[in-house]
Amino acid sequence: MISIELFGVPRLRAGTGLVRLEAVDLGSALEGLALACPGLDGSVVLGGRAHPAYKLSLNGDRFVTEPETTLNDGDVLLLLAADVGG
Amino acid sequence: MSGYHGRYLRIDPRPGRPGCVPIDDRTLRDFIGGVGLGSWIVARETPRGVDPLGPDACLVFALSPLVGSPLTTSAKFAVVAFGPLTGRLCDALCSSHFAIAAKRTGVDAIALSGAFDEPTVIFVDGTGVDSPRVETQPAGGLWGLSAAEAEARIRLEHGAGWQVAAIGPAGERLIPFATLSHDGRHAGRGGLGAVMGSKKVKAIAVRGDRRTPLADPSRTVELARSLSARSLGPATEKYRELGTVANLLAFNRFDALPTRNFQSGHFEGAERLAGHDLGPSPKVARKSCASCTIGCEHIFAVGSKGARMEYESLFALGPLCGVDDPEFVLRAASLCDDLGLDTISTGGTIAFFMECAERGWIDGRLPRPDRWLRFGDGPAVLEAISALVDREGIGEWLALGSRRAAERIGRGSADLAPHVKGLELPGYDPRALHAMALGLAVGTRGADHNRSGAYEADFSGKVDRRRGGVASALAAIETEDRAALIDSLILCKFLRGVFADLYEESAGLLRAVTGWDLDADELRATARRVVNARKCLNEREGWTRAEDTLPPRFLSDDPADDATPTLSRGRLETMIAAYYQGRGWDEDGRGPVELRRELSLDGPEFGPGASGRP
Ligand code: SF4
Repeated sequence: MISIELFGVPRLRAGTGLVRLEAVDLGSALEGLALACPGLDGSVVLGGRAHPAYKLSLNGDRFVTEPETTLNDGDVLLLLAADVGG
Repeated sequence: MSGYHGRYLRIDPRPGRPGCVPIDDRTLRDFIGGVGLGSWIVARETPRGVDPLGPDACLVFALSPLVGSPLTTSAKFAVVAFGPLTGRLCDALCSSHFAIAAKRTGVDAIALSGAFDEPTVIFVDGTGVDSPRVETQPAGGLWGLSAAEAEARIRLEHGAGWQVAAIGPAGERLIPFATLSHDGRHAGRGGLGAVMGSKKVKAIAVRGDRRTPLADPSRTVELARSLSARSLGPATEKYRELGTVANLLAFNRFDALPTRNFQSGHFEGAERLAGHDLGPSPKVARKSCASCTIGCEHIFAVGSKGARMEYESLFALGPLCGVDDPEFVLRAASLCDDLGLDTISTGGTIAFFMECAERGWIDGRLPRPDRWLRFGDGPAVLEAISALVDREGIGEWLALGSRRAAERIGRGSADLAPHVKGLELPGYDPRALHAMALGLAVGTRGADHNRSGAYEADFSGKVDRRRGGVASALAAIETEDRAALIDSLILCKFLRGVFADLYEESAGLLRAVTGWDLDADELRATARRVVNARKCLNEREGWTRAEDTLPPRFLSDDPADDATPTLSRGRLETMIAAYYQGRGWDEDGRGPVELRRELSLDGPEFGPGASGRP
C-alpha cells in the first residue's frame, strides 16, 4: 500500500488530500489515482505521468517523473503544482 | 522612439532641480525598465553615503517599455531607493492603472528627491502637453488616512482620471518597513513607504494622454494573444484557482514552513489555518491587476468583510507567530494593509519579540492591559501591530524591525533575529531549502524570495534541496538572473511557468515593442548587468562580505541528517563561494573592474570596483 498526498489544485479537484492504493511503480500509482479521482484524469494525470504543470515528490526526498520508478510498501507520493512558491 | 519616452521626470522641491532628464537609447537598452532602469536612476540621483530617510535620498518610480502594451500582466511599476531597513538598494514592484497612467504623463520614470516642508500631494499631469506639469497641494486631512482612503479621496475630489500611489500611517511615521500602495497592491518590502513619508509626500497622482508607439503593432498583438492564451493554461492554474495561499500546506509537508520565529519548519495548526477550501476562510471574490488575465488575488471572508490574503502574509502573521486562527490572521493582514505595513517584516519582528519574551529576555507586555506577546495569541498580534505604528510602549522597539531591536535587547537575541541585511526572511525555511538559503544570504535587497527565486531550484528536482552545493549555487544564479529580467521588463512572475524559453520570448517581445534587434544572449547579459548594478550600489554604500550570511540560528555545525532539516556553516560557505565564482566576483564577493567594464557599470555612479579602482 502506498499513499498519495495531494496539494493545491490536485486536492481541490480530487476533493480529498489523501488517497491510498496498491501500486508497484509510479505509472501504476498515477493510473490508480486517476481511477480513484476522475477529476484528475486528463488534467493533472495524463496516463502514467503527471501533467508537466504538476510534480511528484517521493517521500519528500526527491522528485520523480518516470512511470517505471519503483515504489515500495509505505512510500508516500506528494503531488503538487510545479510552480511552487510565489 | 518605440516603447519609451526617453526621459525621466525629476521632482524636487529644492530650487533648480526639477524637470525632465533625457535617457539615451543605450541606457534604455542596457537596463530596459523596472528594477533595472530604476537602479540606474537611483545610482545617478543619489549621492554616496546617503541617509535613506534624508532629503538627498531619491525614490524612483520606474516604468518599462511594455507598460501600456497589450501584453498580459504588463501594467506594473518598480519603486527603487536605498531602503531604511537595510541601508542597501531596495526595489519593490506594484501593479495596475498607476503604471499605465504614469507612462501616459510622458516619462519612463519619476524620480523624487528632497523633502517638502509640510505633508503634500504631488500631481503629475501629462494631458495635452509635451512635458508633464507638476503641481503640489497640501495633504491636509489626507495625512493620517490609509493609502486606500487617500487614494479614493483624491480621485473623488480631482477626478477618476487620476491614478494614485499613496502611503498609509506607517509611512508617515517612518516605520522602516512601511509600504506604498496603489489600488490595494503594495510595493511591500524594505520600507519604501517610509522613504516617501520622509519626503512628506502622502501621495503621487498621475494622468496623461501621451502614448509611446509600438515598433511592430501587429506582431505585438500576436505575441500578446499567445501569452494571454497560455496564461489561462495549467501553468498558472494554482494562482487562478487558489492564489498563493495554497503554498502553505505544501511547504508544511516539506518542513519548509517557518513556524514560531523559525524554531521549526512544521506547523501543527496548518490545516486549521489553510484547510478551508485550501484557504483561510471562504472566498468571497477574486481580483486582478489591470491588464492581467490571471487574477491571482483572492479575497477571503472575515466577519462581514473581505480581506485579501497571500501566502507571505498568511505565513508571517500565522505560523511564524504560532497563530492558527484564520480570523485573526486575516484581520492582522487587513490591519497591515490599512496602516501600510509590510506583512513579512511585521510578522517577522513580532514573532522575534514573542520568542524573546518566551526566553525571558523581554517581558512582552503590550500597551493594552492584560495582553502579552506570546506565540499563538492572535489578539496580541493585532495589538502589537497597532502599538508599533503608534510607537507606544513596546511598540517603539517593534517599530525598529528585528535587527535593530535585537541590538537593543541584547542577550544573544541577534542570533535569533530573522533577517538578512536587516530585511526579515520570507516564508521559506532555509534549512529545508538550501538553494533558497543561498539566495536569501546573498540577496542585495536582504532576505528576499522575489529577487532570488532560488526555491524554484530546490523544487526543480535538479538539486538536492537538503544538501546544497555548487549545483545549487549555479541554479540560484540562474533564477536570480531570470527574476532580474522579468522585473525589468516588467512582467508578473506568476507568468514564469508559461515561457518555454524566457530569454528568447522576452527578446521577441522587446523586438516587437521597441524595434531593437536584440536576442536572448543580449538579455542574458542585461539580467547579469541588473544584478551586478544592484551589487555595485551596495558596495558603494559600504557593503561587506560579512553581510552575505544567514542568522546563526539557521547554521549548525553538524552534518545534515534526514530527520531534521539542517544547514551547516560549511555548506553555506561552500555555496556562497560557488555563487561568487559563478558570478565572476572575487572571493570577497566584489566584481572586478573588467566585469564592471564588460557590463557598462564602470561609471562613477556605481562606485569603486574591487581592484584597480576606476
Ligand atoms: S497574476 Fe496576480 S500579481 Fe500578477 S499581474 Fe495578475 S493579479 Fe497581479
